Amino acid sequence: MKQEQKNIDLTQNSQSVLTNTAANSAANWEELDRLEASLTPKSKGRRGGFRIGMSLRRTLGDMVGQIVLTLLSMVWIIPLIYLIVQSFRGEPGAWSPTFFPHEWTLDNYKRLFTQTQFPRWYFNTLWISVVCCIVTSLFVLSVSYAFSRIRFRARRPLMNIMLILGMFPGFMSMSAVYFLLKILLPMNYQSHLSLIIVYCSGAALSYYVSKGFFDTVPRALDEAARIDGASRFRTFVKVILPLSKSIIIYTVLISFIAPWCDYIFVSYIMSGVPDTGLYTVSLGMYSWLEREMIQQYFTTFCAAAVIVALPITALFMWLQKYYVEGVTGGAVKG
Amino acid sequence: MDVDYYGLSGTKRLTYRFRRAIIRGLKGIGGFFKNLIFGIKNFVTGIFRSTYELVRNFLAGNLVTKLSYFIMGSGHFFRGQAVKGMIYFALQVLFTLYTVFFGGNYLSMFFENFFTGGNIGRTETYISDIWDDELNQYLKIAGDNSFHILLYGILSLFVILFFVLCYVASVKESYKLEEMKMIGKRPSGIRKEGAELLDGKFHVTLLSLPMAGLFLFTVIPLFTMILIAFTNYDAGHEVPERLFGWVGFENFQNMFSGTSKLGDTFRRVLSWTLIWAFLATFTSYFIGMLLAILINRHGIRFKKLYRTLLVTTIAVPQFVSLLIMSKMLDSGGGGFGTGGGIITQWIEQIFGYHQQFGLKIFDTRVAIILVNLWIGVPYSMLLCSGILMNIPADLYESARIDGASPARRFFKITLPYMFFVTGPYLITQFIGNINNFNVIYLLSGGGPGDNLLYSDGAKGTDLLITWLYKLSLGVDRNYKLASVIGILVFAISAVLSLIIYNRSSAVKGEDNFQ
Amino acid sequence: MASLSLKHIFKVYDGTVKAVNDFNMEIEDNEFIVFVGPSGCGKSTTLRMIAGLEEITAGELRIDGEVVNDYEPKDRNIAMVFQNYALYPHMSVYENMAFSLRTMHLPQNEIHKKVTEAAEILGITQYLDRKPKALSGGQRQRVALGRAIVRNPKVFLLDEPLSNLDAKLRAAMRAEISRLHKRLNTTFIYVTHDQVEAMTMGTRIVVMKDGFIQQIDTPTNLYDYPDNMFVAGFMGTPQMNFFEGTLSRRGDSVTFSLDCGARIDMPYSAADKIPAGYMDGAKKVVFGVRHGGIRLYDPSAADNGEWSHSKAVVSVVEMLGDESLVYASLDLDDPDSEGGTVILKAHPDTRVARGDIVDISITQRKFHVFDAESGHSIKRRIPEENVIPCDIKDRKLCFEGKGIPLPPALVRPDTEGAEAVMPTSALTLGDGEATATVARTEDVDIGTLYTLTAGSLTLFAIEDGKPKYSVGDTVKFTLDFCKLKIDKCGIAPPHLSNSLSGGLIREKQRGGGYKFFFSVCGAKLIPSKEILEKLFMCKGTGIFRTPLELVFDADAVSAEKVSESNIDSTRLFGTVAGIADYGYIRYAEISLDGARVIAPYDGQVSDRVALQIDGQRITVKDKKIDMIIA
Repeated sequence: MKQEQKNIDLTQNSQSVLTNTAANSAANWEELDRLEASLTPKSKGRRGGFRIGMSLRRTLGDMVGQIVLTLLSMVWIIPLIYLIVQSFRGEPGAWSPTFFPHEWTLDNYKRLFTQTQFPRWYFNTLWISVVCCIVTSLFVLSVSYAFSRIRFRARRPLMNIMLILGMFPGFMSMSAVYFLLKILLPMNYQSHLSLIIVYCSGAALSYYVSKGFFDTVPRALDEAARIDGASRFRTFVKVILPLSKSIIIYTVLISFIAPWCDYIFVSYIMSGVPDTGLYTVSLGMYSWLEREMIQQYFTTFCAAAVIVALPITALFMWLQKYYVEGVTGGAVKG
Repeated sequence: MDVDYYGLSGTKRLTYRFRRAIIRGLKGIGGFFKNLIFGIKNFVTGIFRSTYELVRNFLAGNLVTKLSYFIMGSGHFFRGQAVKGMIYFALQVLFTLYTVFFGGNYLSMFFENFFTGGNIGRTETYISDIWDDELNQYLKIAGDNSFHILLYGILSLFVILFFVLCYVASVKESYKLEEMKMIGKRPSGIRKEGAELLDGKFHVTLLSLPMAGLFLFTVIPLFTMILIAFTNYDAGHEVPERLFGWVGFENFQNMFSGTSKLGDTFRRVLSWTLIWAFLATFTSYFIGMLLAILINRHGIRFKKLYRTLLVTTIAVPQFVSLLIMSKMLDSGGGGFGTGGGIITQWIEQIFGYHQQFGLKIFDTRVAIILVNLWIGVPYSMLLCSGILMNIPADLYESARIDGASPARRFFKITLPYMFFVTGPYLITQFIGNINNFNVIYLLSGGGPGDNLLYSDGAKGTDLLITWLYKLSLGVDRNYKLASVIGILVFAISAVLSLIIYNRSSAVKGEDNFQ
Repeated sequence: MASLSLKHIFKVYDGTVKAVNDFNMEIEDNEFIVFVGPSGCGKSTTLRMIAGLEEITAGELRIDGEVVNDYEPKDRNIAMVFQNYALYPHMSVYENMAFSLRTMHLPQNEIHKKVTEAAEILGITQYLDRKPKALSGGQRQRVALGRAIVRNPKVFLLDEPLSNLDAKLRAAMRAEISRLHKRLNTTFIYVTHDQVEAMTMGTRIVVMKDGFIQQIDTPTNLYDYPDNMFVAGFMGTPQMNFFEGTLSRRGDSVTFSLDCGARIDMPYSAADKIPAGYMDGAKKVVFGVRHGGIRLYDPSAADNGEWSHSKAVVSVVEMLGDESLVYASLDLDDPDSEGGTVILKAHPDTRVARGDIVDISITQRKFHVFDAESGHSIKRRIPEENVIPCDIKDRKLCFEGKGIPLPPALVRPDTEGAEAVMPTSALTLGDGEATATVARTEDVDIGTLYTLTAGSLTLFAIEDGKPKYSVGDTVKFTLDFCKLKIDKCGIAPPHLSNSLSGGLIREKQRGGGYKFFFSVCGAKLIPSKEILEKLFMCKGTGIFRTPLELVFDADAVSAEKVSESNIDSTRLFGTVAGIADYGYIRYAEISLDGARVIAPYDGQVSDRVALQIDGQRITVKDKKIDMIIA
């Protein structure tokens, strides 16, 4: 009742807005704001539900769910806990009869940093990742923006060609890439530069997720910027990119993590390299698990794995939101 | 879906839907080929039209235009676009140099035996009769390198294609410049053209570098490797010592032949690949979805904690998590072969069953699929919870008012909605699993398996993709078979993608979206 | 502060789909133009073409006299407000408004001054550091307006700016935008699908449908004199009532026989602007009347003879508070049928209920009649044609006891009971052999409309300026025989528009430079410089490969007998196939190879003639998609 009364009042006010042409306009705008404030509901009340009467069944269901989830989460992290505890294991060898070690030690970590090439591998991977993630992100964002926003003649054909290229297993043409690198970088084709080239050259193929994102940014923004006199470049840099934080983070995250996880390409490029100091973490650590090495290096491997996984996991957890956004968006758009 | 459908009984509905799905899939493939034929038609008519235009322009154009047909860029040079003209001219000079001193030779060798079959290249490496005092042996004289010829042949073909495109563009522009001069318009200067690269032609700036990378390191290698499927390139014809040559479809015939060991192996690997992809995709999809529903349930507490614990497997690099899993499953057989994996011990203690991961094919396969759940479920859980929250709440409310039970709500609302929305994702995931190198290679290394059942390095849990890897890195260096497998993997992926293609092209209409 | 001129603007998608068709309009400085129409009518496309967001396929757009077709939006001196505001979400209100100024590299203090000024005008000063997300819809709308104001544009373009607002707020914002228009003294172009916005805000309204302009007029004229059924139905709520039926005249009274069975009688004087051809009781027409023109019969109200009466059966009554809307049907037998439904306004105290049969009054002044087939209005403010029942006797056109001699071209055997049809403009007052009495004079926007009577005949004539004759005067008049049409004896006005196919060619000249010609029937016509410029602008160098159609009036052609002095390549040569003599002018039909041209010519049949066409007066069409390009 009170609300109604107020509404009527405000309508009258708004009528005075209509008629009062001479008054200074600032006052009118305030009236207008008040009118609008009265029109928009403040907050929605809590929705009533079907809660009563079903509560017993629900609580029971909740309890079962809670138990299932707890069990599952435990199952899920047991291997990772195993990894961590093994990295502190004092007994040597690959075989251990129990989950927890008998003797706890930090020696594995010490050994990792003093007696192995792990720090070098780690640094190698880090800088490769940083370079790759910059180049890849630039490539992916450029390509997807161009495909999403600019209508040029070759657009459709290019998109189709890239769709088809993406269907070939990337590894298939590895040997030809290897030879190409041999020709282009005759002196050091088994180098980090080669790896960077391999990781970045195909980057454009994964434009799809971010194109899907750009497609959802209203085109009116581009048009408004155009009317405001901005070139396409300026529109991209000043308007679209600042809006695309989530997709940029997603792209950066994915492309930063990729070199850490890759085994297949690096093992091909680096196969037969005498200097193991050029390895990345995955290649180096895999070499510790070969039959001759595993007895000696298994616990060291676990320590290294912890060192590798920690920052990546932390990064991922921190930026999880954006990852989920990207994955969901990409999957829905197919 | 016509009205009759609603009058059918349950089983008939199912067959009806199944038939429809198949028809739709076929239509998708048909649509693709229709588009393909349409595209080819456009392409061919485009070539004819371009040729016609070039001839017509040549006849109609003045001397400068005619000159630009022979010296690229001369038209630009004399009509106010000197810099562009010089770039075109430089392109022509470079191309000529490339062809004369490099590409031409390789191309001629590339095509020499292309249609007749036979070696790629002319001379093998041989021992000459010149004595080398230092090495104390006869000198080895390097012959042709078949692989280089193949690679450079393709490279040269693309260079020629690129040059022809530039040439056509340049002479068309040249004629246009003449006409522009005719109607009193001035061509834009180099500075304006440069500024256009950030505005009207921004896509050129954005795309050129990524596309160049794609071309050099994806397209050209891909074409080379596709061609290798039609050669006999393997350890017996290893470059640079020996030549290899064209063999036509021989490798495909061997692979598909019903009787040979290789054909048998191929069929085994292929069927496991498909079974694996199917199981891996759908188990993790459904369990992920159930988990997402469970976690999103109203009364559940510590949601965030569960979610965080579950997604750790995505965050930890796969080579770490899979290798440690492999170790935990070790039963003394395959894998690292040290035995005594902790999980193996637990299973023995709890169930009294000595699982033989890496020793028995069946055990290994089951273990792999279970481990894949560990890796894959969190991923689909993340995805599903995102989409589940998008299901309009009033759908459920109206279903409740209609008196639908929770199970019914799940099957009648949640599932259809999820399938509808995530259909494309499922198919991409299926393709991804066909190519899931990591899970297989890092867990079991493809094993176990024996030479009675498998040939050419394949083993019991090998997928096509890991087999491909082994073939090209193994002692046999069997590139030709690896390449054949690559093409087959592509074919499978392509057929599946066509289904998405059909779906999305019909539903999406991206241009109308805004 | 700018005038706009849109000439033959076309928008064609994919080479075939015409989204905007031959849009012509002159917009004066300081006008508030509203484009209105249903969705997909081309109104937004037109606006976006003015903004420069869409390319103009053909036609000429001038802002302040300057052709801006090839200009980028930023160089056109326009500003645009988008439907969803299109505010940059990551920038504060201040930055949103300053963005365009920063792009122009203005000094910081100037930017600050402009932004704060605009913010003050719009009352958003206190929100300047907020992000758009933190604002309400109305405030966002104002920021969008502010972003436009800071640029100080010549033309404001607004694309459905209010459609996302709540209805009440929209009404208030409407008034504010009108006030802003007055305050800024700038040309506004406003696109909406809401006819209320159009009526309340525009100084002139452009009604569009399917890419065609339906009518351009002031709000009152649109409301009172709609050109066709679409405009009549689109403007005004509730919608105009339409009834199908036929018209018949008996002496001084006219009867509408509606299909639903009802009849409406009224004196002929109320319907005299309807062409006599529709009064035959057979031709289908649509009778239209707004709800204000229909009311419940009120015996106490003064009925000064301007209301006809009928009966209706009530189906629904809507109480709106200060008035009621009564939905009734003129079809008493079947009240639920579509054809006779009528909406009328009634006093809120009126007590009627469903099923009641009520007496209603229908206005005799503000009603509309449309051709049922084409939808065009046939009761126009300025009638399109005069229709005279006549006989032809002794080479004279006889009507109402008068005889006007016919020119030789129109001489026909004697005929009785024919009907001469001519446009209103064919009748000129002041001199001549026939006379009539002035019955009414009316001031219409373009001059004075005279309604004349001659016996039972009603004629219309239109003259420029103030009335020269007053009611009751007897005036002489003449007919322009070139415009006369008498179907019964095969008299038709000469087809004075010529069309030839050809293309543009060029010829290199000695000493450099080129000359351009239309190549038509073997001749090379010289186009005017303006036409050439337009052709080049529209088609670029592609013009040389575009098949063209040249359209020109007969008057643009000068024909001479072939002689040595006029044989050159810029003329067309043909043979006279026929001559029509209209007394004051003689037209010849000249056959060229494969084409025919009408031209004024004083000569004999089968003369060889040389034609010269005035290059200034040629209209050029793109033959493939039938589009005027110059």
